[in-house]
Amino acid sequence: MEVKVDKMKGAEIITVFGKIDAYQSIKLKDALNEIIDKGSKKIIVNLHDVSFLDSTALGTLISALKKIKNKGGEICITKLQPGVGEIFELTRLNKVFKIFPSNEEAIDYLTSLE
Amino acid sequence: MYHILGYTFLAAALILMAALFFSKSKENKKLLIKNSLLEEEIRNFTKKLDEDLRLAHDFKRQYLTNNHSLHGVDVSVRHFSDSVVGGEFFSLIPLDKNPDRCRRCIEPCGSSICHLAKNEGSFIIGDMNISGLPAALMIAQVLSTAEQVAGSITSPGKVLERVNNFIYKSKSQQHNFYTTAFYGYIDQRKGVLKYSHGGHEPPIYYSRSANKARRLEAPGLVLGTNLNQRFEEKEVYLSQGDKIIMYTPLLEEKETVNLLGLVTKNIQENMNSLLDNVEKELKNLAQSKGHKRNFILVGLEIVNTPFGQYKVPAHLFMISKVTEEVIFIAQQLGMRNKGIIALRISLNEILSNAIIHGSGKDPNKSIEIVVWIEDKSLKVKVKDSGKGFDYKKLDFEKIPEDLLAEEGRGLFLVKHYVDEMHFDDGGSSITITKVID
Repeated sequence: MEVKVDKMKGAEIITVFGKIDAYQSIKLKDALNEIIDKGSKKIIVNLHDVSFLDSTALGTLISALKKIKNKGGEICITKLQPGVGEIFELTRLNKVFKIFPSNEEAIDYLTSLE
Repeated sequence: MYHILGYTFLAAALILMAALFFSKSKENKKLLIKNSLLEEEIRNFTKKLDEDLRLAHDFKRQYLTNNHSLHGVDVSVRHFSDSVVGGEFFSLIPLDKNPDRCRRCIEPCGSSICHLAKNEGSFIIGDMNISGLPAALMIAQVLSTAEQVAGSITSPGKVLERVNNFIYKSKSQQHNFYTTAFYGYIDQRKGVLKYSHGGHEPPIYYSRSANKARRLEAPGLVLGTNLNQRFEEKEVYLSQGDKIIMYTPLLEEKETVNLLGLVTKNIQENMNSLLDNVEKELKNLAQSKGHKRNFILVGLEIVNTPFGQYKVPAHLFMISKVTEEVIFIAQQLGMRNKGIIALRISLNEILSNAIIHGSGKDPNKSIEIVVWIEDKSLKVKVKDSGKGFDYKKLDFEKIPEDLLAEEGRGLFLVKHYVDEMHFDDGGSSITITKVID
């Protein structure tokens, strides 16, 4: 699994490539914590290239969401593949995270929060 | 004067007789010494021969009773031997690595042994026309060559090519030397046997589903005939209950035992009885022909296939490796994409639990995984080395009420994606079932 971080219109976009299991979640956790610790309050997690994630990955995302919310920030999830979208729906995490089909829509939403 | 001459003559005769006596005595003594030296030499030679034979027998016993095994396959070996160490051989050859699997592996293990091995293995059976210690030494070298090549090549044809070349080059030291061999590679994950022949008597393959036995034929010359000789490869798909019977031929003439007839006659027996009966007939045949020969008789019974059995360190990076192996087996069984996705999610969850909660993420501990097929369903059992837990207290029909809980969703997902799941061993093992549709 690889993680790439870009910046666009004040938001940090973390693009994840590959499958996220309990072992790979550690990389995602480190990347999220680093960005949040640097003070970023607008994060987009782009899961376009993620065909699979498990409950550990969900826990990692929830942990990051709680951390950033404590600092007044927000995390959006974008471009979910159907199989991954199903997992978010099953676990009702589609009620917890803001999910968008594109990075641009997520950026518009995060900008509107300012 | 005459009496002086007489005495002189007598004295001379006496001296001559004494000289003759002593010289004969010396010769006898020399002969005696020579005899006793010869006896000593014969004793030493016989002692060395006995030691060599013992060594040769030990060599043979070592590779006939090696501790290699093949998951899901029961192996029975019978060795009939008179006092002479013959040129017949059989050995299971483990595969510590498989280049095909390594290419697909998500993270190379970097060690000399792949934890996912042992669901594939090879075997070789053959015969040489030499005996005694030279035979034992040659057999050891041939098996060592096969084992070395099998470490990086699974193709039976290519393995026999390398063994053939080794034997061809060895022939310069041993004239009129030849070897026959049959090499088989079983991949339990696919349920397939691939094989090649080097002029050996074809094994008999019995298919339980078809209730039919046939020879596993393939063209191939005796090993060592030509350098860089090619060996054709064939394959047969295996099922539970299938049997493979092979032996090293008793008779050197073209007329051989009708092994197909012998096996077919006894095929309904269990493997032990089947081999007992075949062995009895082979021994009777040898005695009736007045031959004193050695032979090896081998029976392989497929207990379960496709099949996978793994014991891996409780390290998180094993999750993806084991998952890919199980997915591979599921794909061989024809499981479709939707089933594969569901299986992948479930496997990740139960493996994570076994490693994190069951084994405390301690790589010095192991988790065991068994994969098998039952009633058109794929079953996977994961067992950790923990003490278990009170799983009855869990309600995995529901997600956590607190949606921001960071844990507690795994078993809920498993329950949703599989057809059946249950705990055993006090909660230290879980078995999931996924129907193959």
